[in-house]
Amino acid sequence: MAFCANCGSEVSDQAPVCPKCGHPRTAPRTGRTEGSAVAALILGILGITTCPLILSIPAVIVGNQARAKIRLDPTLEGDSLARAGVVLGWVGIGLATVGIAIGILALVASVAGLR
Amino acid sequence: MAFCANCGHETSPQALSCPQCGHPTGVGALTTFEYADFWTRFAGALLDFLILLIPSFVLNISIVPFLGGLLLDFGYHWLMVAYWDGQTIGKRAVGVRVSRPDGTPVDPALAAGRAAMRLVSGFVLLLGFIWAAWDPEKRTWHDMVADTRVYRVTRP
Repeated sequence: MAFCANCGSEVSDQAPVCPKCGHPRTAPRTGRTEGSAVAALILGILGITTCPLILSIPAVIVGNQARAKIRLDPTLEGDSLARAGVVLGWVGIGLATVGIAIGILALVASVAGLR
Repeated sequence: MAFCANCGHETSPQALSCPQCGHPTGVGALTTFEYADFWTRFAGALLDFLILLIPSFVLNISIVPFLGGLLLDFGYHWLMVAYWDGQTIGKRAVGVRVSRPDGTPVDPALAAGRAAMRLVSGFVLLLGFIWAAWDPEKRTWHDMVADTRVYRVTRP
């Protein structure tokens, strides 16, 4: 007989989780969160809020590198953080592209209007 | 590593009871694996908001408007969740805790990602927070991205 590390109730040695509280009996997960996945997310957020393009492009690159790294190493976690960074990076690039396109159109229109 | 006060068996620093004899370690709070409901989380978040209100006002007028408050919000939620047993002051007051789905603690890098995504949840008219009201697992957007859950806890 063993005891649950969460609630202290008696559990069978074979039980995968504590029947009382559902706490897993196995050792806590050893997976570490990949730091560059967090970095990609933060770059993606800053790319949308403060400086688009300059930070959105690195967000996509760092995010995809982090995802590749996590896929190869099963002890690393944080794929969804990296994916959110990549998505926010593309949103930032999209917003910047639309902004630049409107700027060019306005410039062309004003030059054409002057003639 | 820690040791049980009753039988001397080695216990993990997060363990609430000794795996050998079941003696409580006096650390932290019991996870119930019940999802904290929206209004409970709302009350906790409101308390955290009120705690940060004056400091972020001071930062906003002394550093950069808007950015100072955001940095404080990020830092508070990151460091509290990472180093205070998955809880902020508001979360502790209402008896809930952030953990991974299996109840294991959130590591500092994951807590940073969650705190960053929390800002995004707030940007869209708080939609990312309100999401917890109808999500079957009561997740906000930052819970989804970081793959965390907020469970109710009880004190032994």
